[in-house]
Amino acid sequence: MSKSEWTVGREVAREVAGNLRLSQGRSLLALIGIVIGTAAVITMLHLGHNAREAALRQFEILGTDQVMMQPVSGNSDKPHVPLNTVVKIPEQNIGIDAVAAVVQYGTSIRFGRSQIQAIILAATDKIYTIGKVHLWQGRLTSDLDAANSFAVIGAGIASEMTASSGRPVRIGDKINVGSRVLTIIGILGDATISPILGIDFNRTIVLPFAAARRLLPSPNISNVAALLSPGADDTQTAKAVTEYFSRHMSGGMMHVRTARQLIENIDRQMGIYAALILGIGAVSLVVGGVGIMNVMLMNVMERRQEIGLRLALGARRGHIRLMFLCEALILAIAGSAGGTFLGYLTGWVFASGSGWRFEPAPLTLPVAVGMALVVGLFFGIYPAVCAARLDPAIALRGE
Amino acid sequence: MDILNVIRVFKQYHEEGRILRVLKDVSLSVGHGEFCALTGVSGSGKTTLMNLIGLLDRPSDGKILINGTDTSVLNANATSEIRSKTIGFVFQSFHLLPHYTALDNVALPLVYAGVGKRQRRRRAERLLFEVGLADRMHHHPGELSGGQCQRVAIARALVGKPSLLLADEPTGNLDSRAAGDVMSMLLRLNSALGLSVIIVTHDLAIAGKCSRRIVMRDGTVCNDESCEYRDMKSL
Repeated sequence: MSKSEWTVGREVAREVAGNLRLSQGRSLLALIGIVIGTAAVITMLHLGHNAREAALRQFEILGTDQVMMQPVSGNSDKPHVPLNTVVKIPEQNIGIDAVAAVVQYGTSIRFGRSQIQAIILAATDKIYTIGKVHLWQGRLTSDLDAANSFAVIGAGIASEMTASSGRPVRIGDKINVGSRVLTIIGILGDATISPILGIDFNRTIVLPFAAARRLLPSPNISNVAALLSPGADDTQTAKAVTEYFSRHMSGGMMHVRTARQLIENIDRQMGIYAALILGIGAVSLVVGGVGIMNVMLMNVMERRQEIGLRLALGARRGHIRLMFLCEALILAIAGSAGGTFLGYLTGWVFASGSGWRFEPAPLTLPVAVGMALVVGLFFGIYPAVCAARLDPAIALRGE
Repeated sequence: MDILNVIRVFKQYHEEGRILRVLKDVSLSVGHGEFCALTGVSGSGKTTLMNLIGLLDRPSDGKILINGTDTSVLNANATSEIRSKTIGFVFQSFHLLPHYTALDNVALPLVYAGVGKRQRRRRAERLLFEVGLADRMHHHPGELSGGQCQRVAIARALVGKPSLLLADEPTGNLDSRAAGDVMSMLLRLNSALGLSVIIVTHDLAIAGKCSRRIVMRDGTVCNDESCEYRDMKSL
């Protein structure tokens, strides 16, 4: 394109931008399609991104060295894991530094006159190290406590007890679990839920492992929490642990969950999410684009005389094509800009509704701009070509 | 060299298997500064001839030379350029864009000549001043009378500094007074700028003011006469 042709093209585009009437009802209707489509895609992008970020943030806090082992039953047998086997894992040199056998169940406890829902967790010493929880008051349970009915309560339980009794919880207070009475010996600080262990320490009452016998007739190890040795290969360790237990447990096998598996799961979900976004995007592109094409074709029909006139006044067919393409692009860009704004808004509303920190997804703006260009060009080209093909003599007669 | 040579032009349309011969062997020449009236009954081929001269359509046979250039060999972009630089159009129904102001309507052809916005407006202002509409620049066509609209359209036809003005029944939609105004303006522009004008008209009074009258009948030129003296008394 020579310089003067470029100048004319620029002037044609400017003239379109300066005289476009978006206020026309049907232009606005066409815009709604694009707005909703873009908003849907942008919202989904933000949601996916923020969900992933929220999940990964927990790993940032707790690290990626936690491992959860869960006995799963084979056939009809109940899986049985002997405590001895668990305690001996670190000695096997298979990449595990610390283990804690856990007996876990949910129940309601009584404190004074109030009932509180809580998770009872009878566990060996290392559970605090592995769970990365810290003590706020009193002391932690220890294997030396044997079967004594001592309890360390989570921060959430403590504040609920404080609220119901009207006075702060003190070390030495008693709580009732069924017919048993537990003595509070410590209170935990506020804790983050570990996505790997799946234990909410804030809602938990921790007892010495041996004390489980006092509450349950035949306590079985429900899971084993562990920490990877520094530098250990998590995949190999997981394999070694499964293999170790297959030799030492009865009635089932040990399922091992590591951070890598969880992150891989999240990423797989994000992949499904991305496909969904792509689908929604494609559908909304087509719907919005057809709307724009419709409006543009009606414009061309209505403005036949104007097209004839412009041709008579010296416009080339290429200028007419450019003019209608510009109009379609402006419509698409306006719709896409509106949709992007709306998408940010809904993304933010959803994120704050879910308690996530809102962080714009990195691909949002290129996606929005790309959608506008694709829709505008793809669906604008046909009406523009139709307009440029009009015979000026016939178009001017306006029949 | 003449501004326009129409050499043995034929034009036919195919319609439902029949061939419609609209122009049959039309030849004529228009010199620089000539003021011609093209008259004839409806269906005699006046508008078709005007479309061919304006390069909005192509003849089935024959040649049209604008300023000596044979237009039959030019491509679409080249004819657009001749329209933009050499020819000005005035239509019976004005063909002003309703959502543009008078100023923007007049400036429109300059967009396709690649003239910048400020320059476009300056030239359009000057022409609107010349046609006596300086105080109506920012009005829309809906706010102007028929005569004013046609003056805007004439200003638009002239803004690209053409040497040939084609007017297809420019007074057809106007009352006799407005028609007289428009006609005297065209005559004045013709003598002041040396502009060649071809004007299609049914109105014998209008045709009488033109120095040359071309009469068409049944697709051919049946009478082409020049008068030495324009009927100045009626101006």
